[in-house]
Amino acid sequence: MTEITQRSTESPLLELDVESVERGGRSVLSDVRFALQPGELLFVVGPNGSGKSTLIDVCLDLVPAPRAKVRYSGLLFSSLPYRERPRLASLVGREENDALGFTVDEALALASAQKQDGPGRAVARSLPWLTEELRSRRLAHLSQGERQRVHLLRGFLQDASVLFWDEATAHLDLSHREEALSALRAFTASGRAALVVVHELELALRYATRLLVLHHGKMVALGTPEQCLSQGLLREVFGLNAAVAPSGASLTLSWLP
Amino acid sequence: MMPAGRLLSWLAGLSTLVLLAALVGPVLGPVETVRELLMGSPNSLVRSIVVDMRLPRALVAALIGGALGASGAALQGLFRNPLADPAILGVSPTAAFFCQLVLFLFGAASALFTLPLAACFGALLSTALLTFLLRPRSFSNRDLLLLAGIALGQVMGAASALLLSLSVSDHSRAQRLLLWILGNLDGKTWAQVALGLLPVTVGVVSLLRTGPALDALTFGSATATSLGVDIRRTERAVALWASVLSGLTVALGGIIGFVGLLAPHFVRSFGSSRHQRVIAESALCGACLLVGADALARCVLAPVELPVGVITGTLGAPVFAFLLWRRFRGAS
Repeated sequence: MTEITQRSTESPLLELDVESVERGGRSVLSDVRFALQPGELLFVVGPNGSGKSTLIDVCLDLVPAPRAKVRYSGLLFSSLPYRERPRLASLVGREENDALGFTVDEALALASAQKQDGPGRAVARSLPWLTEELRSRRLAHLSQGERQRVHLLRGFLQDASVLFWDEATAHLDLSHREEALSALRAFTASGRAALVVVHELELALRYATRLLVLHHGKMVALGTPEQCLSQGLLREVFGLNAAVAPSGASLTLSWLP
Repeated sequence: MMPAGRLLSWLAGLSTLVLLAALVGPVLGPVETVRELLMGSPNSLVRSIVVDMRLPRALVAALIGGALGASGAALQGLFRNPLADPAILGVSPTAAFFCQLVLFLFGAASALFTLPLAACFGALLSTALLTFLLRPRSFSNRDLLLLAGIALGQVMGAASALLLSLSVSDHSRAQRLLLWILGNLDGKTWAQVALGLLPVTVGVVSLLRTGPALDALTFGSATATSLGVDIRRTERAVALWASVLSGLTVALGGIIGFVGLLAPHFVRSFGSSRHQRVIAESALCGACLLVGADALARCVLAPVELPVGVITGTLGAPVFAFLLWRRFRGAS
């Protein structure tokens, strides 16, 4: 496992120290420790059931986790009043379908209630997704991909220190996926951080500043994508016979014969 | 945030309905009533019918309808279930049982204050029970909630029937007990208007304050928490005030079904889904519905007055079925 490097003496935006998280008497996440500094775009990958969503649950205090400590800029998250939490952490990708009567504007207004003006606003404004026509439509009448974009915009508008995006890009077509991840990169570049759960390892290679690989609830690698995705790890964790290879200016997965 | 125009038109509609309701009735038709009011002596019988009987009755109907509409809207938001309603969830039947118990044990003496207390106690007890039953899964398990509520309503209905059968020998008491089950606004006076006005206003305003949290909650508890919502607190506030409002409606007029279910559906099908608006408009819509329904109840089979619950049931059920049909046709 690669070591966590501290780039500043200030408290990191997010500091996670999970000794163990149990569900139904079974440990689903253990010994996960890392910190996120401003500018970091951390991708979390791992096979189904490896603990990715539980990791997000713990970061946002959504499950009881007495043996885990989550700090944002040094503040213990679970000890903060609820109304102060949205400026520290936002969550995209866990929306349930009950809100379909809401229009796009109404859905976005939920985040605007946080009354902040920062880089998240600028990023949301720079995206060309919000047409006049779309704003007044109900979520029920949007495609899943359009809905996912609305939720991501809401995440940017909330403008928290750390944006969490679960099952990112699941419903986005290729061009919107690139737009979304570029916007996320602009968001983190302006002093925020993001933690993104994806299944596409190629996206991690192209966009992640760091990669966290989970397997059976344990952190098996943390570091730059090319450091983490060794041939051995790809085979053991993902069951893939593949290797990271240069492709033009970037890296991609190439399948071994 | 809330378009004042819509609220004003609801208010205008409600005032008109209350005035109309004060003019119609089995004893005296609208034309005679207006003529008597304009030409007759100030202390006439007509004046007393309108001012002392019809007007307070219409205002009590408005209070009950408003409370039912607001609590129905808030409960639907809290349970994220479009079929939630104080009557369906067993809240009103429990409140009615406690009212009947008080009447059964202590008679009608001092009923003005003890009945609302008993009803609110029953309503709070039932929501506490539902909350306790659903606690491990939070409030989102729709089928479990409805089944538990319906079961609770059945048990309380049976308990009410027991009290009723024990009272058969005492004819007047049995009749009084029966009125709680049917939903009835007969004999309401300014005392009930005064009694209901403050708590209903406080209850509706308190539910309005939970609106933004309920909005966030419709996106699921994880998303709501990330938006800064204290879910437990929201659940407690809505359960408390919706119970108090449902209890009051039962104390004032017995079990009146469908208004709490219909008003929010009606409001949503025409406008926003944001809870502050839905709750506010549902309160006014529910008030209009019940004032209108009670006026009908007094007129359709004149000179016989029907319990208003008969009207809301017979008109409410088909309208509700129509709304559901339209909703699902639109969704597919």
